[in-house]
Amino acid sequence: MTMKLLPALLGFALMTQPFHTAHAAQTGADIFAINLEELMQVTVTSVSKKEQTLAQTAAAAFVIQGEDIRRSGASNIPEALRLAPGVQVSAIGNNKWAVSIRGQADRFSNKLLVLVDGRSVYSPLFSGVLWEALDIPLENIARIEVIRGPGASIWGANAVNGVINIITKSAFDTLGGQVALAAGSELRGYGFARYGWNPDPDTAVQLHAKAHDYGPSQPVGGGEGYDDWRNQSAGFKLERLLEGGPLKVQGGVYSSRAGDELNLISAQPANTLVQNTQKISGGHLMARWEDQGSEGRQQSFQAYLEHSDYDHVILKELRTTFDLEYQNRRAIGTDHDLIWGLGFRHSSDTIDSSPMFTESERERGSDLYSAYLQDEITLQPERWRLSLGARLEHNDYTGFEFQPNVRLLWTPSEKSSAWLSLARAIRTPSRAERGGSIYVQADPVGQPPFLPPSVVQFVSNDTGEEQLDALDLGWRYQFNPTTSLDLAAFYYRYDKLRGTALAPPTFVFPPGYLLIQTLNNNANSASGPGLEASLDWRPRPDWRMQANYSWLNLVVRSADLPGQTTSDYTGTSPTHQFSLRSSLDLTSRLHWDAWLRYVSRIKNLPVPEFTTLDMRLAWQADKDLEISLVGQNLLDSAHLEYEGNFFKSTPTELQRGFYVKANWRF
Amino acid sequence: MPQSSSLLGGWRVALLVALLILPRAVRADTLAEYRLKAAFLLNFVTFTEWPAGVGNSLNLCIFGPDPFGDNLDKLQGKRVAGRILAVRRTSSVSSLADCQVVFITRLASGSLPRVLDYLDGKPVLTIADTPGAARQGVALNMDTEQSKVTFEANLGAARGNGLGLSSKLLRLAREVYQ
Repeated sequence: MTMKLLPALLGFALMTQPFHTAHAAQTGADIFAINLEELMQVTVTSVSKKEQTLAQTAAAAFVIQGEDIRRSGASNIPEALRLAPGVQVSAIGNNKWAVSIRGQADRFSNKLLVLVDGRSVYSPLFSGVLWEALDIPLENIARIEVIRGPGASIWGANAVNGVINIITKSAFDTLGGQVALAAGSELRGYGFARYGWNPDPDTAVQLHAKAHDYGPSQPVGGGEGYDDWRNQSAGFKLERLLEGGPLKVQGGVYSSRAGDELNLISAQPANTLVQNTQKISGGHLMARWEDQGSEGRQQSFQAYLEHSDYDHVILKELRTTFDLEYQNRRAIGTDHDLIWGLGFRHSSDTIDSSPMFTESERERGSDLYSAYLQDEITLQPERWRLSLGARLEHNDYTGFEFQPNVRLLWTPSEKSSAWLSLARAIRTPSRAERGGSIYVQADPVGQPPFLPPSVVQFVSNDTGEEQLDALDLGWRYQFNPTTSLDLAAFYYRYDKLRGTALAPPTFVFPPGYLLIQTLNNNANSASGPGLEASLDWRPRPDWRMQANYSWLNLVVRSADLPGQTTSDYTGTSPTHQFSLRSSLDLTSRLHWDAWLRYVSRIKNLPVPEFTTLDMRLAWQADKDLEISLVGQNLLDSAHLEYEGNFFKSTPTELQRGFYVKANWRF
Repeated sequence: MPQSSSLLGGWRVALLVALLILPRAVRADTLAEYRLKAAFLLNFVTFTEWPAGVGNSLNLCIFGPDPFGDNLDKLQGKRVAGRILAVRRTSSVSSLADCQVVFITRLASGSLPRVLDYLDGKPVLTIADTPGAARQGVALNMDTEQSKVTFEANLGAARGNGLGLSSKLLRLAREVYQ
């Protein structure tokens, strides 16, 4: 078949040749000899590719701009993420969140990759993000790119359900000083200071420091919780423009204290209500060099070193990570835009166990190697683009992982575009899933009184990779300059999902209890569709409305094996989420924002549906001074958004809160 | 079974053919944007008058990621109004000190105020192709309208740097800011 078609193929190729020759007569002439009047009559039919905005990519991408964050009244990153469609941000009190995209939410949502300026903040121990330790001042954020759906072919493993890229402002954009102070009921105190200067036209330096103090929320039964949250952080950024491109060096230190109240096994089999303050501190140093030789030929080199110290009653972890990345982009001809890259990461840790958590090895180091390639092919200029990409990665637990992606973008007109994507993405096992054991006491409620107390031990030895095969579709339409719609639909199939199977109980004597071991496997699966819609409307230059809706119908199936328990991914995400936001400039100095959100019930936790409202009124007192009043969760005195589903923290409800903020630039 | 797999193979080849042919057939009567814009650059230089102190060479500097590709290489060493053109590419502001023509690329337009600030009062012709750049103080700014390249001029900015723009340039400019 191929043999027969080859001549045909050659024939086609030859047939197109005359076009080229005929054309060469016209443009092959010395264009520098043509005079200006004539040049102005020459038609450009292939407009070179503009800098690609996220909105033009073949992915369900949404950008939260720094300005949107400021006007939303969000006081921390998880709150700001609620601005994007398809993102679930369920607060577990005032200092913990279950943040996920397209389901399987957990305090450590393990299929969402989060990067800050290209640095991964996904914990290899918890396989998730410790949002309470992610202390980036909102004032420093240029934008947050939220990409729903797999991004593993570019960003690597664990970018399964989505990627969140937090991008901070360039030092050149933060020259001068800024001080922000806030105080209120939940956010008891907030202080931020930044100063930037440029010693010469090619250099910019920026220093900043931040501290906040959140009060506790309210336990479900009333009273005062134990979830206060105090962070301090400081950082710097240095950017220098070299002949070939910018060199950026940045670093920071942070310290986070977050209170927690948990029911834990203090000594088997007794459970105790423990009040604990989780302490996390750390720092990072990062350098990045970009060679911007030409639009069609760019490369970048990035290195970072990071250290963190995690201290909790359940475990203590010291971790040091070193990461190197190289990326090269090259246009080949006019049709191919090739991007390839190499990555290496070494992470070493020391983990101290406790009666609740043991690790088979106290110290471990692991290496991650990766290589990726993506070719973006212009099939028809301004109409069809095809992107073929894949990433090959090697990790110490599951070996080589191959994560391919095909994306097709069709732009029938300037106003509309449609896209399709097929991808495979992998979630690699965490440190804790290879040799960790967790002890929890089985819920004594409902247990027959004649039975001895039982202790459940979750043993994780050979947890393998989890796999997603994804079909994504999208459509964007610009009705008119002031109205645009973005639709995304998907069907996902997860295989080899983590599950647990109960082993027959054994009686431990003394002290006398039933030990029920559960062993990890990868026998579960899940599948289902989802949909997200986002409408942006500016009825007047001084008024903007945004509506987001997301629907998710993921069914998680626990394997039909003896003792297999219900998957902990089951029913941890709402089916419907809706939000409506209005940004209105009442006068040039008075800005009013209102943000209504509805979240349907979370079936398995269980958490009832809720509707809530945030509002912000800001007064630009002076060119450089803004004073704002923010009210959050205004529709009820308190509501529940999530319950931790593993180590049971005392469930707490989010309370109505207010804060006043002053923002001064000089 | 072998039948269906070869049918699939045929499809694949057909698709490949489509992919190879489609772009070429469409691209055949096109002229690359930056090939044309390079010719505009040359004309801009031809119709600009530098103050007496500027020597025999004209350094044409591209600030930011270069969109021209090899289209500019043909300008290297070309003689324009008695001066010899040299093309340089840079991302550093301070290295623009010995340039007589600076093209600020669209990808570097975020640095526009800093570049203009640095070049203010120096005998340098500033050129860009970013919407709004002329109003910000770039002397000549190109745009694409109905698939044709047009440009606007900021005469005040050019004069501030001691340059003269010929009447022909100003006549052809879509808009002239004073």
